[in-house]
Amino acid sequence: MILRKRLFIRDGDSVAVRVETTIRELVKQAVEELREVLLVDDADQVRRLYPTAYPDDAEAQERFSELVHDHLLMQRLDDIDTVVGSIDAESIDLDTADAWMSTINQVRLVLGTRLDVGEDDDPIDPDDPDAQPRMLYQLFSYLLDELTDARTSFL
Amino acid sequence: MNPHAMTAPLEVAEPDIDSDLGLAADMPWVVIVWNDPINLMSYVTFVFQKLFGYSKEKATELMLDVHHKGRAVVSSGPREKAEADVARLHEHGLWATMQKDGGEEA
Repeated sequence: MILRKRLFIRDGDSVAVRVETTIRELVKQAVEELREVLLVDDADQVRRLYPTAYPDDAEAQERFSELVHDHLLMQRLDDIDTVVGSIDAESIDLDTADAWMSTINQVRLVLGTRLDVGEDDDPIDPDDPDAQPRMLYQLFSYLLDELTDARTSFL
Repeated sequence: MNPHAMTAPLEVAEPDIDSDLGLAADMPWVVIVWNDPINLMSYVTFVFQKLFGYSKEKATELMLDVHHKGRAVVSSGPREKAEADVARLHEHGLWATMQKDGGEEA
């Protein structure tokens, strides 16, 4: 059970981070794991990170992938460095907040694909062998929702 | 290909300027975002606002279309623009594809 407290709040030109240390540690671990997943680049694991732009045109898709894949990979590795570098910060600027959002969502995409999650936040069965990653997934959904709320107030 | 084109008189093969060089030539591609069980509704709305400058209302409407109808056209334009939009949507973790306008099955 997670208490619904505001974890990210707009504070002038930046976002105040009110995430407790244990959760920051979980974020750091998950993000470091994401880095490994990105570098190994196993098609099954990362398929939601590189969707198909041209589902009906293999040739155009190959050209698109060549243009975009490495660029996205570099961008994502940069964002991970940004998140790890600001993991203890009490306040982050907007670019850093965007890196957090993008990275946290990628963790959810990889985890959600692995767990084959549905639309609903079903209560977790403690006997489920995947109970722990499912809790992590829900925690990351909560973090992203909070961050989205704070970030939207800047638009 | 139309097999009869080989025997058609030359005049008929000339483009009809009025109907062929209108908007369809300039705006032939649409970008579609598809529903998926992972992306949060709040996050998808935010991404539409951030990437396309849509109002909260317009972004929410598109997000709800994706959620309820399974997909929504979120932008359109020349091929290069559509590709850039798709790449930016992928960068943000959204499931986006592109296709020629009118090629979408109802």
